[in-house]
Amino acid sequence: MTNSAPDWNEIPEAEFRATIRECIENECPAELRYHPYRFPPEVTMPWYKALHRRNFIAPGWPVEYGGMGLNPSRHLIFIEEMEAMGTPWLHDAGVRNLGPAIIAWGTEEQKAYYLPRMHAGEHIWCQGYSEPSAGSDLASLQCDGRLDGENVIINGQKIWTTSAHVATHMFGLIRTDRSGKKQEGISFMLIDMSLPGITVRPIANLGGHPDFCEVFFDNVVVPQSCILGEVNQGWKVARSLLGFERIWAGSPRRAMKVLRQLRRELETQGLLDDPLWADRFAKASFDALDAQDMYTQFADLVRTDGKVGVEISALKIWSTSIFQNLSEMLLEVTGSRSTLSTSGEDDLLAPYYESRAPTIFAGTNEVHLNILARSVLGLAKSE
Amino acid sequence: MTIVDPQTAEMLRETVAKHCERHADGALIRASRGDVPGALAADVATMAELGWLAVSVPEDHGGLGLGVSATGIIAEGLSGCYSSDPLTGLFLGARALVHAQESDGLLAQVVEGSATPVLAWQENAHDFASPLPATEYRNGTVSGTKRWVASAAQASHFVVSAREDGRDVLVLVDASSDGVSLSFGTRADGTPISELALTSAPSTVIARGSDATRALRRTLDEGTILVAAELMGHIDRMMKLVLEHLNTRKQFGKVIGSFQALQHRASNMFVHQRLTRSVLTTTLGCADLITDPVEFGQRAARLRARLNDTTQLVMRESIQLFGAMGITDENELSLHIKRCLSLLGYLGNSTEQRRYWTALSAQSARTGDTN
Repeated sequence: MTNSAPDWNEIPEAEFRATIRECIENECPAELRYHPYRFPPEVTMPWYKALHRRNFIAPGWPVEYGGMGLNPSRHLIFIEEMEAMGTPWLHDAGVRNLGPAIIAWGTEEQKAYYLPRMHAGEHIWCQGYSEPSAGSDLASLQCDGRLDGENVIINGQKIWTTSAHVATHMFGLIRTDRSGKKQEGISFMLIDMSLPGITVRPIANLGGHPDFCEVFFDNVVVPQSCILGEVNQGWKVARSLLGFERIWAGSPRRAMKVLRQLRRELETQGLLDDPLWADRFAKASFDALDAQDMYTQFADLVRTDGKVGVEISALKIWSTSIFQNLSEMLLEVTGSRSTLSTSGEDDLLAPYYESRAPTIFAGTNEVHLNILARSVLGLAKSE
Repeated sequence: MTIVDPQTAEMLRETVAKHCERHADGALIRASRGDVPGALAADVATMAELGWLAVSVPEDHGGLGLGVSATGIIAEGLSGCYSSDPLTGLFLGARALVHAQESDGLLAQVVEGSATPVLAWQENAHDFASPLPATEYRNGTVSGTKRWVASAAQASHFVVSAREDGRDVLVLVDASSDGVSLSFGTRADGTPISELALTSAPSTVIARGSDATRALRRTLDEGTILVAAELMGHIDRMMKLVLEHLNTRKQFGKVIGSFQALQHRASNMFVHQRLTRSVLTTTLGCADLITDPVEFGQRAARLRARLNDTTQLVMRESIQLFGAMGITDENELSLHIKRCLSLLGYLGNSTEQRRYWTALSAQSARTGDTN
């Protein structure tokens, strides 16, 4: 860790962008870029390690923990540059989601143990929230944690756990009390996946990739020192992670990527001048470019008052919906070619598959419609 | 040209809101349908007094030197009067003079409200791409027929687009000249729209060739942004009316806004409203600084297409959510619906905007990016 890093929020924007680009050009091999799916962690690890060495892996963290201390707007620029150059999707749920929570809620021992290890890519984290009967109604989760002296004995199941098959650790929500309201009695736990009694079963997704898993707990003994925040107060910890996650979920980056692909296809096929396709392409472009305007505005709001209001749900709904629309249009533009299962850059089905999940994760779009109705439009609670 | 600063923007917003509080009059609008000049948000003298006509006139002609961003704030606010007329008509005339760099003192009179030039450019229903007009200028006179001329009843002059030897030309015609005759049709909101017949009307050239093409194009793009701003105001007001209704109307013993099926429809409307607001704010925040005509045209076209589409959605859903009350003329909603119907196909519907955007893309394809 170097002490000579500049104040990333203060240096001129152009210089900041140039620094990131230089890092990508020198450290991120071409074969890792513009790939439609997430690579296994061992493939991307050299790039992860490079970001770790340069202290670029946790841009949002404070400098003293090895972050860049970026304010929200600089953080967005950082993401923008990474996306524009097609850097691969990392297994970074640890630094992206959990790290800030440990910094906010963790004990000194937890900070000293977990933060450097996730920073170095030594620990790979997955998020264990959903259960078979607790999806949109997450607070009804049942995975049981019985307090037993210094330990918690965990029994139960998690599902749709992204990357559990490659993760070394899980941050999960465990039911440790059943006496009060369902939001009370949940503990936020940091679980070593190598503990006896944990079984992981990958679930192939539509695209054929084992991206998410079922995780079973059979009398798994976890020390109570692995609870983040107070026992039974895990819901509060989990909620505090949502802010930046919502902006991230609403980013139109994926839709923009498909838009560029659409344009290339139309160009190659000489259809850009065809009035029918030109009209549809213009409409698709407006959908994506307008999403960028909305995204930038919300980012500006984050910059000026530091928080994300509930209106952000509109961004998530729009960006994820148009990602689907554009991916469906790509299948139309490519005609019968779209029926073929291929791989790499020619994979026309990848955007279709990839665009199915975002309307479901980070709160289904229907849950977000509920949030807007209640919290923005002031409509009465529904039955 | 500068962007309106936040204080001036806030001041404009407040003035317009106050004006609407005092002057919004649905009953008058209903009673004046089919009349000429019909119900106005404010007459020319009032607009001049409030400084609204000075906003987009350059400072060296006595104006405020702002542009479409500031005027857009006024247009949006005037949706509180159910219409911004005659703001858009007068804006188009004045801006055509600005972009044609007319310097005969007419703009100074615009500021005072003593001259009210109006733009007469359109001839056919799908002219937004501004093809070479059939109207012809020759030897100091102009002949032809212009249609969909807004606020012609208030016009002291017409800025007329015409052809001269196969090239664009913009000419100025005194409204009281020989060879100028107006007839009036009625728009969906009951206000007049005119056909201007020119028969060897005496006229002065204010721009020729590519200067004329450029001036007209910029004016039309600005006009379409202004219409977009007014539509945003109508969207917000329709949304407000619908939400009030959802929160008060009871069926099955509950307010209907508690039913999830209706909540999701309302939330979907909000998603579009919020998206549209973002595009408008972004556009008004940068429009006057854009000098590249391709970038400006594409920004304007994308904005206007979004406004048109969201307006249609909000109109349709508002009527549905109001139920039978939604299809009555006496509902306040009807005033916004009818005004929107008068605007959606004016200065470019969504399909025309997309076609225009595509044409501009092709033009900029050499540089390889889209705006």
